[in-house]
Amino acid sequence: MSQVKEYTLALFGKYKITVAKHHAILLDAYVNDEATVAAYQSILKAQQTMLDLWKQKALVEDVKALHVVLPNGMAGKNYTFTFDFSKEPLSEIGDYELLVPEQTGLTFSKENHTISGTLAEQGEYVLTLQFQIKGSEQPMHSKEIRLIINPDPKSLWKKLNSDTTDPYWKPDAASAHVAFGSHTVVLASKRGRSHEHEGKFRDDGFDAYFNEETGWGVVAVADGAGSAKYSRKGSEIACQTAVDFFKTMDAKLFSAADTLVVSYIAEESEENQKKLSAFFLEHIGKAAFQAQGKIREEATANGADMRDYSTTLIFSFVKQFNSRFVTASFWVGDGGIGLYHQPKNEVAVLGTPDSGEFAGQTRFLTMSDIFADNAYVSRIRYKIVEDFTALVLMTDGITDPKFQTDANLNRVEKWNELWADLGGKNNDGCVVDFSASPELVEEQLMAWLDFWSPGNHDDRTIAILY
Amino acid sequence: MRRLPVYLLLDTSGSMRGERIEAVKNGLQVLVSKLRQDPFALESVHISIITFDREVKQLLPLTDLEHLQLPEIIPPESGPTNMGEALLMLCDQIDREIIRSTEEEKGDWRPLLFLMTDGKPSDLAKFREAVPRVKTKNFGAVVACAAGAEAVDSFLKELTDTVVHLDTADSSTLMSFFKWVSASIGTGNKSVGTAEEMVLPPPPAEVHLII
Repeated sequence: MSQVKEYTLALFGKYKITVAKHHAILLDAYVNDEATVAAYQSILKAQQTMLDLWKQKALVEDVKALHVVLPNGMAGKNYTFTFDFSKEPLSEIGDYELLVPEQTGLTFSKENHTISGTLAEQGEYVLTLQFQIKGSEQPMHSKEIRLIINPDPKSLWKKLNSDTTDPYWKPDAASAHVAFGSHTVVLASKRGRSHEHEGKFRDDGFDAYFNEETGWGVVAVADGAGSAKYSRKGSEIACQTAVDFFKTMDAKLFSAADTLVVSYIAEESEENQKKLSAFFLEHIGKAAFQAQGKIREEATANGADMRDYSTTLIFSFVKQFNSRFVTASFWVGDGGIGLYHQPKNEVAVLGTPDSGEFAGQTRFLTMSDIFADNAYVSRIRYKIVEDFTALVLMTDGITDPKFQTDANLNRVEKWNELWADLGGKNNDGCVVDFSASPELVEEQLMAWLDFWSPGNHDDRTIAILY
Repeated sequence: MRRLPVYLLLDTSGSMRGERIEAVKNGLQVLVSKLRQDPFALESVHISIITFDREVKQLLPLTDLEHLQLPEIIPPESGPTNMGEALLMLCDQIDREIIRSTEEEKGDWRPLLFLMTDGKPSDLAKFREAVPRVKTKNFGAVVACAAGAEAVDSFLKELTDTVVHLDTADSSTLMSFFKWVSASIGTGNKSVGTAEEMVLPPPPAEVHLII
């Protein structure tokens, strides 16, 4: 049976037309008739057109629905993305254009299906794919493809001044150098980017004092808690009080300390060690306790809570004897203090940082239990050495980026890195030359403090005795 | 780098269909855009989205802002609000995803949790099982938001002290809620004592703090 006849019979069937027996010959003639064949062929053609149109529409829909994910970019960075045109539905695309907003900084190469370039402005952009399906003569369709260009975090930091009229205002940056007999102490402290960004205060503090007559000196750094509203004052009081304690300490006590140290150096007996320990525990402990007390007084006078002045505190009471250097320190909170000896490849970390389960958690001088049950005893350490390169006191604005973990603080490799970093091994071209004048060292150390470390934008304070 | 993990638990039950879910999606968009303009957030915030309706899904695994692309959210026609199961999933995810400080590793910032619902938990037994578990996770802040007239504050009160109520769950109110969330996240990376609660910025007028 011819295809025309088959189709005709099916059509008749659909319309319930029966061909009478006596019309059989007529039907054969009808299906071979030129007009019938032409009609049949145009039906086939129309059907094909319908099928094609459907297929195209479905493909257009599929292209539009296709989830094309462009990875997010960052302003200023290079960006390349290649579209995969080898799979359906994209493989069915005929003529097309990809319109890329100029502000993105990207251009599209049709040859290798790639958008590339250096990302210009941050923002959320729409790239438009105008396309036709192969073999279609329809107008162009368009599909939107989203591209997120993140800002470079470096470009977002604002530098807002802190409120100089605030009663607790202090300069956003501070530095000092103090002659410590044959040694020098340089101190540098800068407000962190996170505080600059919000026009907040520098919460860190420092202080140092050297007594020419006795040869004893004291260095202190402190980090006021970012979450406590008066912590900048807390850190200041903590450092000053610790320093003042030794400034005003009875001359007899200094000579007592000298005697104890000298006896211990002469004979490192258990008894001499006990006596020296007892001395340091008593007086270092008193200094720390007094610092807490002064903060309490301030809080009471200001009608505020002690917690509003939350601060860490690290201080060290030091003296250079003929052949020995003595340091006795107190440490509560995070940050770090270490006595570093480069030639010997050694470091003595004078305590353990207080850290919690999560980032930013620590303990503060202002917490009531710090002195309960003699808990402070473990916070006091002393060390007597023949020689050293530097005694370094740091707040966590330095230790977080430079040491990362508590364990690293005890690794001399990390101290070697820090020392090399200070010596110029950094990306910022900063060099702290400890053979230069103290004024210059102070200036260089301040410049060094600006180092960039993603995610580490806290106040930074460092005191170096060398 | 220290991460600030932010978990968003969103009610996607049937009642959220239509204008509400569109408002939530716009709110999320604004939240992410705003955070991207905050340099500290851009370097530290990681967001995870868990949705709950009949099903509970982690629609977005914990992802940093730099790489984050918001997923499509499509609520079902109808069905229960399995908030309890969502909180249980959250606890499991916290155990898996959060880095706690050790000698050798710096921990994340304390995670933050924002939960939003326009109803109440349908799976109350699971909800009551989950609440004490959530409390052991030591979140920096847990904020529960009851959006619209049908939302019930009392259950959320069992979960956290910080419950906010939106009188209407329309797009402008939800938008101000999400803006407040973004401001709250901005305070999540300050150093705090080991046990202290985070202090959130005051909410806008449309967002009522339930005492």
